Amino acid sequence: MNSFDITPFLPEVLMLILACLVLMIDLYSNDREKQLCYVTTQIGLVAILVYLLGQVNIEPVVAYGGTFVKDSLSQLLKIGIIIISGVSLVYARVFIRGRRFLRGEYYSLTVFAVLGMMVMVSANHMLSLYLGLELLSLTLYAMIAMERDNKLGVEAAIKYFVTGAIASGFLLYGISLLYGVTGHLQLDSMAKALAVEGDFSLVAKFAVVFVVAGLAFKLGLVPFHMWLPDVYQGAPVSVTALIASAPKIAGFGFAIRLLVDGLEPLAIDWQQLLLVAGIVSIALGNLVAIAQDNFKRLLAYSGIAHMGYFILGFYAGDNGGYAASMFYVLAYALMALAAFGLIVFMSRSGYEYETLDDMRGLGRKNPWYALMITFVMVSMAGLPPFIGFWPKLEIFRSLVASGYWQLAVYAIVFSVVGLYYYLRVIKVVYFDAPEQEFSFLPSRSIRFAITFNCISLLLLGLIPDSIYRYCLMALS
Amino acid sequence: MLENYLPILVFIMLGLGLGVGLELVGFILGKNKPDDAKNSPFECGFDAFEDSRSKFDVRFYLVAILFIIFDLEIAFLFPWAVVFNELGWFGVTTMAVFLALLVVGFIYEWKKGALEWE
Amino acid sequence: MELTFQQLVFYGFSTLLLLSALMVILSRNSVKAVMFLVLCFVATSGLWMLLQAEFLAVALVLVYVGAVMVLFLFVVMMLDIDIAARRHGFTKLLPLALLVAIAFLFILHWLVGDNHFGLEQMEAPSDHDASYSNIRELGKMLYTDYFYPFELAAVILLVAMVAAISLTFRGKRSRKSQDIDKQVRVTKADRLRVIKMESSSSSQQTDSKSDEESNENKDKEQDK
Repeated sequence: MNSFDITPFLPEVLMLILACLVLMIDLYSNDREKQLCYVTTQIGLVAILVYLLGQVNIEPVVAYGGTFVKDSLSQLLKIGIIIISGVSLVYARVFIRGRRFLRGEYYSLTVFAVLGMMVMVSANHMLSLYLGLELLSLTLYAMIAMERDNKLGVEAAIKYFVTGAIASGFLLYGISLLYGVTGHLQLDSMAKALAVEGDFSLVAKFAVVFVVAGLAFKLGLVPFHMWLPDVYQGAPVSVTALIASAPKIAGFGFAIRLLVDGLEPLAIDWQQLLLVAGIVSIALGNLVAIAQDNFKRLLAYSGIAHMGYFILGFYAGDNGGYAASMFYVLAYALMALAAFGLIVFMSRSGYEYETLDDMRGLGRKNPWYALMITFVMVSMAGLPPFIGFWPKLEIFRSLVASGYWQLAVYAIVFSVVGLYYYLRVIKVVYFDAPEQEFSFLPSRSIRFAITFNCISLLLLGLIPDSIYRYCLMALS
Repeated sequence: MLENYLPILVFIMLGLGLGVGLELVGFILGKNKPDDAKNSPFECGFDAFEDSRSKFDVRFYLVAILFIIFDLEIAFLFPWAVVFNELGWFGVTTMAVFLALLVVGFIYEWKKGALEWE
Repeated sequence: MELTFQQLVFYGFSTLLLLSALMVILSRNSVKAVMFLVLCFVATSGLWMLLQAEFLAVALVLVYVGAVMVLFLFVVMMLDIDIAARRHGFTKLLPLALLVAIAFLFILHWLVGDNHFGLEQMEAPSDHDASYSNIRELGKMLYTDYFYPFELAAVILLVAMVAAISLTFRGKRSRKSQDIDKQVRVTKADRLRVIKMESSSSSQQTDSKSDEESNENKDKEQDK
């Protein structure tokens, strides 16, 4: 420990310093608008992003007593997490002012959440993995309940907290069993110990059940999805935009670290569990979404279905499949951010266009933003040439390549079912008569960010290789 | 190692024995004739107006949770203090960072006014 | 089968743990339930001590019994829970809950019981001599090899502080309470100010007149 090298986790350290800095600025500045907090947060995020962009393709480094790993995968996921969280803050700024919970803590807690996600994706040890997850969850619980006079928000926070605590309990129980079996908490040593078939393989399988249950809870896979619609609906939309996007990327990192790095020898066991969860999620998410009138709940159920597709990439069980999953989760995060960003944008103080009826006739009143909604919906439905199409294609391709063509057919059939409710939104927007005037948040930055976010869905869809190439590189 | 703790076990047993034993003696030897009037709660001769449980101010909770956090911090200090000599500068720095983070939290509490009662 | 003294202590503490855990669920009064939870922690701490984890055993008492349970009591008292409503559905769901619990118990016993973690598979940890210090071993690891998780723990504590304050704290309250110190310490200069007045000019006169008029109007309104 004599030669201590800070460079491996420099981004995390900087993120922590940034969080503390924002916290202090909030205390010592008299600015009611918290402009300085916001600007500092964004500048800090951009600076760390630039630092990370400079070292994408690197050799894996395991550091700090084996608790930390830095490789291309973690760098890429961190980049995705920071970009998405930064954009979600652009959406949040004006929104939280209108809703009167503009507080500096919103920014510092977001930075802490980003830190938690970064810790998760570059964990090489059960302890850091779990602590990163708890750091993320704790900040999210607080952010959901931040609008204290919003009863739905508080309810959502409690639901999220209780289910999250149960999930953590499952996860910890599984981890403790795994520790009992292998005697290791470091993920690579654990994998080595598990590779030797021993008396404990049965206990290890049992532990996998608990670990996967915890993971499914956090990702919102059926049958552990109950919290998701309520939380998405109840939380302040700007917080939902964050919850629905960046943590999913971190969830992917979590799954790769835990299942592939740590439990690779038990792949058959967790693959079966994930397969069942994925199949049921796709069916339930897509079918229940059809019945939703509330746009947020619709997006929540569609999110469950998306997580189902995403997890099928793990079933393919090779690097191609994992890369497809990574591509999928990055694309989904971008789409979910755009979708909830649009809801943020269409809100005004005390009122949100959250049901489908509210959006009637948006196409006639405001064709540009109706087009943006169309972009998001078409992309989520998975039609070319939008970004939503390509990762789905990759997932199907990796499934077929691994010989699971029935599964691919099943997923395609439900994609067609999903098309129905995405197109219904577009129909409501364009073909129903408008009932009211639309007003948007009066902010140029949001307008710019939304447009940029939605158009990126199209642009990235035109050059899908730009992301997928990196996903393959990270997992090769 | 465990033999070091034998006195504590004896102490606990003694405490338990005294506590339970004396209660038990009182229960067995004392006269016990309950009736409805004796068992009913009353306030100065009246029936009880309300439940004894009343809602607390949320500030108590805030103080309690802040106390827990610093309590945990202190729990982390004990092992550090024991091996302080062997850790070298690295261990000192580790604890310094740990404390610095909590000082940030402390400044936050202080400036927000969460530590003031009125 | 002959019981060693350690086994006797173990069975004593585990019986205490099981009984008090049952009482946590069964007691009608939620404050009593919290008290039984305290007893649970104390018994667990005894069990941990038997595992020679002395620091953790003491920390459990210090942190959980000393602090977390206090918070629990606050929360339980803060919400006045309707006990009848809380027990609603208890008996209806009892068979299902029992079934799940018993099934779980058997699976656990089968998995982590003697056939996998018995003395045949794993030898018992050796007893340490009286000079062994568990805290020392823990400290050597925690602040060097595991410094990264350790600092993460600090970050989580920091977030907990920020979250707790931002969720429950509603700003400083201004109360109109008396501060007797200040009242006693007051001097003439604080209360009395002597102003030199110009001899009254016309504009001031009209002002004062209109003031008087409005006062009179108010008086009249009050009379009505």
